[in-house]
Amino acid sequence: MRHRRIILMFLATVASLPAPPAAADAPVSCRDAVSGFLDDGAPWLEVAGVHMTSRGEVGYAAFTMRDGYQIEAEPLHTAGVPAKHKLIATRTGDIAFAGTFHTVFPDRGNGDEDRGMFWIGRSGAIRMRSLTWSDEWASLQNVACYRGGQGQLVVTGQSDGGAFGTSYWSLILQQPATSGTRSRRAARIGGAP
Amino acid sequence: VALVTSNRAAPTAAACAALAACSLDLAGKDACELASDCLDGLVCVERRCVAAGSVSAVDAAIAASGPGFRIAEVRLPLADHEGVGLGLDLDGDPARTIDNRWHAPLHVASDLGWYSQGALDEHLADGRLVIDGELTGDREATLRLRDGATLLGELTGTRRDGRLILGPGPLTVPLALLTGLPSAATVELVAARIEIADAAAGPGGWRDARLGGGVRLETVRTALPAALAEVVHDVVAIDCRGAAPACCRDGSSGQRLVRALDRDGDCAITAAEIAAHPDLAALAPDVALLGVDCVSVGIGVSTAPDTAP
Repeated sequence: MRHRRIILMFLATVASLPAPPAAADAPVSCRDAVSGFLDDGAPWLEVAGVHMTSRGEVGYAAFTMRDGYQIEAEPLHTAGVPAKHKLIATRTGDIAFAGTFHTVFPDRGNGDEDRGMFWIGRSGAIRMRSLTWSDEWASLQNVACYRGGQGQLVVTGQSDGGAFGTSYWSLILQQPATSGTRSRRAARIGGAP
Repeated sequence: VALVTSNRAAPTAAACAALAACSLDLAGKDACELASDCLDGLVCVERRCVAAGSVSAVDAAIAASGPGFRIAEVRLPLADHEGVGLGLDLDGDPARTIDNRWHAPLHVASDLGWYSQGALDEHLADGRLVIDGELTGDREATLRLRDGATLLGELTGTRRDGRLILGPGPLTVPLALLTGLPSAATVELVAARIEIADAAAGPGGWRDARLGGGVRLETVRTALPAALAEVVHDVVAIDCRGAAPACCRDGSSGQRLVRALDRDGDCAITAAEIAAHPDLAALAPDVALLGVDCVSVGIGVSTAPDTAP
């Protein structure tokens, strides 16, 4: 009888616990979220990103850092690096945020960072381009967006690299803590939405 | 043999009975979906039963455009190798070489961080840029393009080698259509052409069309830097609020732009500084059209029915 009471108490406790965030948060419209950033006048977004790739016997995880970061010059444990963990995507007009970044591959030798460009449009479309390897833009596919606990926008998606395998991305976008002056600008292209 | 049906409306059995090239066995359906919906010897093109081999997809494209259409998708030649697939032989040279150097100005924009294709996709998708028009006629067709109430141009043409070729003629297009830049500027296309491929008919519109023409070099060297300067100015204003010379936030787009273009070190970038971009300064005319030295342009265009009232 005593055991039964303990079990019931345990079940009641578990039932009252909040659901884990990953299960609780429903996807949100990427279009609405990005449009919201733009319409709020966000001058730039700070973006933390990581991607995983696996193909054949090769597999690795890599992460994005602010443009210009070189792990050989500033090892990850050194002072000043925490300020460089997020790439900066500056608003371009009122249709997109764009910025350049460096990707760090932790399992590779020094100086083996790639430089890339990140672009997210009002529609929620995300494109990336490797400035190191190619001139071409690749769209992130199967994009899903979620709200983070502190107003962030969490984005997941995948990019097909053909023979180089498919990469799975997770990105966290957030407005700067102090947005500064609003830089909203009316579109100068004719035609009403 | 032209498509015998009128615009958009599915042909009636009575109408088809009077015409050898059209007949229906739709069993109560408004329009066909498969060849099996049609009588023997007929195929289903654009939801209409037509005689197999008697009607080209170009006919269907004209009918499908209804005649009103709007430009729904545009493909820009962002890379050198994409120019051939999206270009046309504008000058009719004996070797029939495809003329398309538009990737060069777009490369300059890309070098400044402007993603032309993405921006243009956004403009078209949310209705900020609306180019519409009509494609009418039969053996001889006429295409009109409009930006709002402004007529951009009218091109006429005929079918040749299974394609509908319209032009050459004058056409003035928004710079935004060629670059994705949020600019109200327009660009005159010299000897503009539109070519719609034979297999161009798709659900609800015509696809795989190519729009080409020439842009005067001087126009490229003035209109493009002016439009880019507005975008760049906004980016620099956000990222570079400090005092010169180290005025920009580390790792920002503005910092990259200032380092690359700010010749006088005042942490501002002018149209003149953009016009001095080496690739823009090195740009040269590659075709002579109607006696005018031009930079060749070629873009891919797909349409959808214009459903606006």
